[in-house]
Amino acid sequence: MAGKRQLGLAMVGIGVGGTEMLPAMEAMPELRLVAGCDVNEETLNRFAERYNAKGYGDYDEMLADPEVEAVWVSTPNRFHAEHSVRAMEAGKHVVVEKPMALNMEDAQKMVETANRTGVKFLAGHTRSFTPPVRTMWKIIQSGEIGRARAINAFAYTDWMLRPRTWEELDMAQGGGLPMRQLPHQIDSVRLLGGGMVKSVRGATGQWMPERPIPGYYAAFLEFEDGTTSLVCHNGYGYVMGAEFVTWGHDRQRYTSEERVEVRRQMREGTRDESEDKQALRIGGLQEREVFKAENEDLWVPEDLGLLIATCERGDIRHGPQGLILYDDRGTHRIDLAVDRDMGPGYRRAELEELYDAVVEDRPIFHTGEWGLATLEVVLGIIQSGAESREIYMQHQVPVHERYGEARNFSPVSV
Amino acid sequence: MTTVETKPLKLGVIGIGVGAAEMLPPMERAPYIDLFAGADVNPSVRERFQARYETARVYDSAEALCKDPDVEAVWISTPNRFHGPMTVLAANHGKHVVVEKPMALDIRQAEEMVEACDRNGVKLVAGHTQSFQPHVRLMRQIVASGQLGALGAVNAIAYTDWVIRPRTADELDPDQGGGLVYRQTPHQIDSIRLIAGGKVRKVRGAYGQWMKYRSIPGYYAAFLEFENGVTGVAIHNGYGYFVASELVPWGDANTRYTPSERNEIRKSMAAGTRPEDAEKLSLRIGGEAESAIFRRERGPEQWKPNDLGIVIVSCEFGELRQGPEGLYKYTDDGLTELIVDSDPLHRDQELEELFNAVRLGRSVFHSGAWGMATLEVGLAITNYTKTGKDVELTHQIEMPSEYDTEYAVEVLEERKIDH
Repeated sequence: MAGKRQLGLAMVGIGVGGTEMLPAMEAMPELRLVAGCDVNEETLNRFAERYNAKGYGDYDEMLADPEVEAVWVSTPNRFHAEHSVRAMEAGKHVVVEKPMALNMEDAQKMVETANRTGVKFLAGHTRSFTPPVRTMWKIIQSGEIGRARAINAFAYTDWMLRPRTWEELDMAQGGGLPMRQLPHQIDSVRLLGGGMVKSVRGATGQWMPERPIPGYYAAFLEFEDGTTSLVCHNGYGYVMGAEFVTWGHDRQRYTSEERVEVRRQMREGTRDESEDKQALRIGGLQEREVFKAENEDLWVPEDLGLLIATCERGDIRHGPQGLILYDDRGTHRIDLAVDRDMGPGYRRAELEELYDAVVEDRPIFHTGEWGLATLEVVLGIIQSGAESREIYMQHQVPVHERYGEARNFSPVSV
Repeated sequence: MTTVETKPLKLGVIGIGVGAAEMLPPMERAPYIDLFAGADVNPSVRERFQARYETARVYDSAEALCKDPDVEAVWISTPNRFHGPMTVLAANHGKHVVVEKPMALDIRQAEEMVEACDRNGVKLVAGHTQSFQPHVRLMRQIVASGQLGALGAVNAIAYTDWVIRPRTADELDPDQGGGLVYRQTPHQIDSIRLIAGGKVRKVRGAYGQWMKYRSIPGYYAAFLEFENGVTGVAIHNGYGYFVASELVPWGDANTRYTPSERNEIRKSMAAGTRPEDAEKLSLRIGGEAESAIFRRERGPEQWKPNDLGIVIVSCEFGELRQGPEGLYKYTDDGLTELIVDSDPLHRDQELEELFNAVRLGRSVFHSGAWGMATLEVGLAITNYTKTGKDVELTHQIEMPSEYDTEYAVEVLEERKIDH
């Protein structure tokens, strides 16, 4: 990357979500991890040691560090708004993980702050950044198989069995499957459907006694142009989406046997969840579980689920190494792994978007307004279930008109 | 010795189309059915029917068949717009009725059917949906047993080549009951209702129609909310690009057609050269394609995602979905495969229900009222698409718990699956 200057990046909240991003950050020479901030001293030390970065226990001190140009906000969800706003007020660019905020008021405040301070603000960390989803968008844009008419995503995962902190088990703190997983599917279907959701009807479901949070949702979306979308995610970990591909298996975060064991411990109350969680963080014994995709080159349905975009003259869906395109000529596999691995590296896209915006003055595509629109749909689905009615959207924005200029769009090789 | 109580029912088939062709083999086999008569307006179909069933009485109209005093019951598989009038006609002649899905084109018609059957004291079975399949009934049975705890969600996801199968003119007219919503929601809605209990509180969905050569809906998606809090998702994409049969390791990219056949069909439709009437006729009784599709004498075969789609039932302590030979049951102890009799030749449950009702005085469970409730949900999806408005559902009923005891599905074998 000779000639490209390095952007000084800091991470606040070095949890499992943050840990997932570290390999992508490492893989980008034009980024330098200069600082980290966490309340967990062990985590902070591991981070500082690995990246030769400064570890801050105090967020304001980190924000005062002139080496920090941009902040990656991956704190617990209830802090996303506050930590983003504080960073922006300190003149730092911000990427906030999903969900960007817990409510519309906070999200609007984040957008206003970004606009007022002029920093770059990116609502990030959803699966809409992944090469398969971006390439689907590109194919739809090409018009080769007509307009998008139905975009469906079905996820069956073991999300509910993964270790959780107390705040992740509290809806009021942004816990539960809907707040944490809907952003993946909604951001992706909004991207493919053009962004402008008209209305939503759905519900959440909660039926595991040991988990006081919803572990299921299903929703029907209609876009302004009549395109529809059905999304669902069941995180209870019995049926696994990964079983539904011929190259798949029934293992996700856990194997089938591990899920049986985890459930037994939960039912009996013997599970040490905070220890399980710590093991997944940076330097933990199971860190590689989160990084694990580094050895896996075949995609299997994960938290986004199996995404199927139906157009007038064809379908596109996830395939083992990218996409499968079905059209009037036949069936085509589109290999995206040639360009960039399907593992952690795919998360580079949002970092590239940040870097290019800050250093190259290119547009932010996943803007605060975009993230706010996704959040509106997420909250609308939860409200729809609670009130048993259709909810109409008011804050939707279309996909950025220059989205096709985003860096490193995987080439389509059929 | 055959007593009056167990004497086979003398059955007349009205409308010997593709749907009926599918049912004839099970009818031949069912010990309680005497395939006694058939009626069709198409002379070549009548000839073929007579050739196969030499002793059967063959009529050129439903009216003539209904006037035959020896016919006890009729199977109505006419084009959809006749389901209502033919049911009323048969009832007025004192015949018991099994009507194929969709039972009617609208609620008013369905109500007339129920009223006519009640008035004449005959039994009405709203039949021929995949909710009769052993897979689906066993799902309901396991849910009802409580062994998996409370039910949370029932989802059905189908991607098939339904739209490009050969169609007659009336099948391409939504006003005559054509299109995917009329013809395919009964499978998914009947099945989801059966598993979830029956009473849908609200439905939000839409159909889609985007193939230039098909003037009918070929897609729908719907979100269902039940009175008991259970939710459901029903999706069917019939345009035949991606097909869901690809989603099981023992499956393939075929449903009715292989991928290359689908491409050829689309090409011929675009060129206007497709001989659709001939294709349709070949699927009917005695036609060249009949054996390939309906008269499967191959015995039980592995289930693959079909017009009902993949059904996933999510409960508090486990989940169910179809497996190659029955169900996969996921519990806190792991995965078990439950083997059931899935021989397509044994697809005669609605006839069994009719026979038991007529001869043994037992209840009809897939009654006219049950079928009307399923129809109501499909109509609401169509209405929502056209008007953007919610329709209040007022005909929903529960499936009685006696259904599970009277029509219990036998589990032939349980296999623990080790990973």
